[in-house]
Order: sequence, then C-alpha cells, then structure tokens
Amino acid sequence: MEIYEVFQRRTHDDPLVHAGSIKAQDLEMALILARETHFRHGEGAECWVVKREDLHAVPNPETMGGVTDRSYRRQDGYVGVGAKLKRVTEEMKKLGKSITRE
Amino acid sequence: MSDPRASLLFALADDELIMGHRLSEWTGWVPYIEEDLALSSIAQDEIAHARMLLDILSVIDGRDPDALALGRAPSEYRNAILCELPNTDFAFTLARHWLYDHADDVRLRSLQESSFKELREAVAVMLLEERYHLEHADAWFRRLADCPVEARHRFGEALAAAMGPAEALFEPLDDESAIVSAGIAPAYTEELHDEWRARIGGMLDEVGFDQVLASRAEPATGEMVPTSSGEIEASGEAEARTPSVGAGGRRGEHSEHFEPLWLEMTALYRAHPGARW
Repeated sequence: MEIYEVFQRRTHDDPLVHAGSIKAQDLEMALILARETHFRHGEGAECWVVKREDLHAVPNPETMGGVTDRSYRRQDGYVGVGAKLKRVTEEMKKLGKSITRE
Repeated sequence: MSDPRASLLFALADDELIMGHRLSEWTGWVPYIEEDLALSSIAQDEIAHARMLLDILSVIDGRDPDALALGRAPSEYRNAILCELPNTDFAFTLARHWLYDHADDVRLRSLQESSFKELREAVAVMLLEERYHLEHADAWFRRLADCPVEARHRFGEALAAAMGPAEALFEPLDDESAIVSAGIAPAYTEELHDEWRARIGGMLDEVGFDQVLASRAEPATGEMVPTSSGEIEASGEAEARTPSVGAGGRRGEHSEHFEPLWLEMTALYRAHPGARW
C-alpha cells in the first residue's frame, strides 16, 4: 500500500492545511478512505490527497531564510517605530521645527 | 398489517438496522485502520437511516423508535435474511455490501417518487450517504475481482454464496398491491428486482463473473453458502446447516443466524428497559 498525505480546507476560503496521513492501495481508495479517516466529524469543507512520494522536501532547510541578520525585512524589524517617531517629533518641536506627514 | 406504509417501512428500516449491526461487528477487526473506519462509518450511516425510518414509523405504529428497533420479538423483524447472515470473512462482507447497496440504491431511487412525503424526504437524505456506500462497494468490487488468483476466487465464491439471499431482498412485501396503488412505492419489488439484476449483471460481466448471476437459474444444490462456522463450503447433501438460500425474511421467517444477532443487539435494551443514552 501507498502512503497518502491528506490536506483539508476548513471552509472553501481557508488555506490547505495538513490533516494527517493514510494508507491506501491507490488514488481512488485514498480519496474514499481519507474522508472516513480525517473527516468523520465535519472537520472540513474540502479534502485533498497526494501520494507522499510526490511531495519533495527542499534540501538544507536550516539555511532557509538566510543566516545573517536581515530583521529589517520583516515586520518585527519595525517594532517601536511609532515611539521613535514621537520622540523625534518632540525633539524637533523644541527646536521650533515640525515633521509633516502625508 | 393495517397500514401499508408500515409494511414498507419495517422492511426498509430492518434491512438498514441489521446491515448496520453486522457491519459494526467489524469495528476493531478490519486489517487496516482506514478501512476499519470506513466500514464502521457505513455501519453508523445504516443505523442512522434505520432510525430516520423508525421515527416515521413511530407516528404510524405508536411505539417509540427505540422500542421499534430493539423491543420487538425476532419474528416481528422484516429484514431480508441476507442482512443477518454472519460476516464470515472480508470477501463475504464486501460481496454482501456490494449486492445490498446496489439493491438499496435501486429501491431508494424509486422511492424518490413516493407519494408518502415523510418517506420521500428521508430518502433524499439517505441517498446522499448511500452514494458514498456505493462508491466504496464498487471500488472494492473492482479491486477484489481484479486481484490475483486467491482473492478473486474467494470473492467470486462469496458473491455466489450471497447471490441467492440477495435476490430475496426483492421478496414481495405484505400489502404490496396496496402500497403500489397508493403510490407509497412507485414500483413493484419485481420491477426493482429486474432493474437490480440488469445493473449488477452488467458489472459482473465486465469482470468475468457472469456465472454468479447465471448460476441462479440452476437449482440450489452445490452452490457456495456461508456457514455458522465462518467457513464458506460447498452446500449439498453434506451441508444442510443453512436452512434456505434466503427467502422468508419479509414474512418474519429468519435463519438460524438471526436469534444470536438479536440477543446481542437487544441485550442492553432488554436488561435496562427505558434506559437512555
């Protein structure tokens, strides 16, 4: 038997997420058995299966995202920007200047 | 029976209830868990369908659905004998499942046109799940028929053993002419029987199992029947334990296999009358 990975969407608008794995003889049986194994309680609006051997992992996952500090590219690299802006605005105000914002 | 609707509902509900009970016996025993869940789920569907039908029957009969399901004497059950036969092995279970679910599909499709509103509405719901049962049964049918020698051979024997009792699913009902003339059932069981034979005959032909249907034209001697010991053996002079090839259920005349099933199915209900889940 083959191993199939089962994916679901909770509603038709949700992304696919992994629901689990099943064994089945072939694709047709996998489609039949996936719903009984992972969808018996109304868990999802859609059920997808793919043979495990058709899923391919990217090699060297430890280097994914880079190894140097590039936090400026991420949302969490901008923590405290509001406070910085407030502080600078006040310092400028003391000098009789202002920052205009669009 | 005074109300012809009751006659039809007892036959439909009892088939589903007893099929559901037999399938539920596989829970925990199927060779792999995915199929265990599938058979168990189908068992639950069948019992839920029995409940829908018994809810309708309850209004006509006066007894509550639990009393109808579990509080009747064995001779009051109207299921076809096919449903009560022991599971025997996986081959027989799937052969019966395939024969039964095609028969059930033929009769439910016909009942979509019933003049009996509550039944018509229940049938529409049941067909949503029965479509899946049929997919499951057909998938196994093709796989086992295409298997290497032993599986194909055992499946063929199981189909031959189940065929006679499966035909008895189409025994005429009590009050059948009243049922049909009132439009409660739009077709006579004989017509449904022909439709079913044509349908399964085509599928049996495709996989080279046409002798399963053809063998039914012959006298019953020498055919393969399941026995209480769980083996499938050739029947004949030496094999007389199974009393008939399956007629009588619709009149409440059951096989030797029914009482043990009934004792187990109704044990809790009889021990604790009125107990609630």
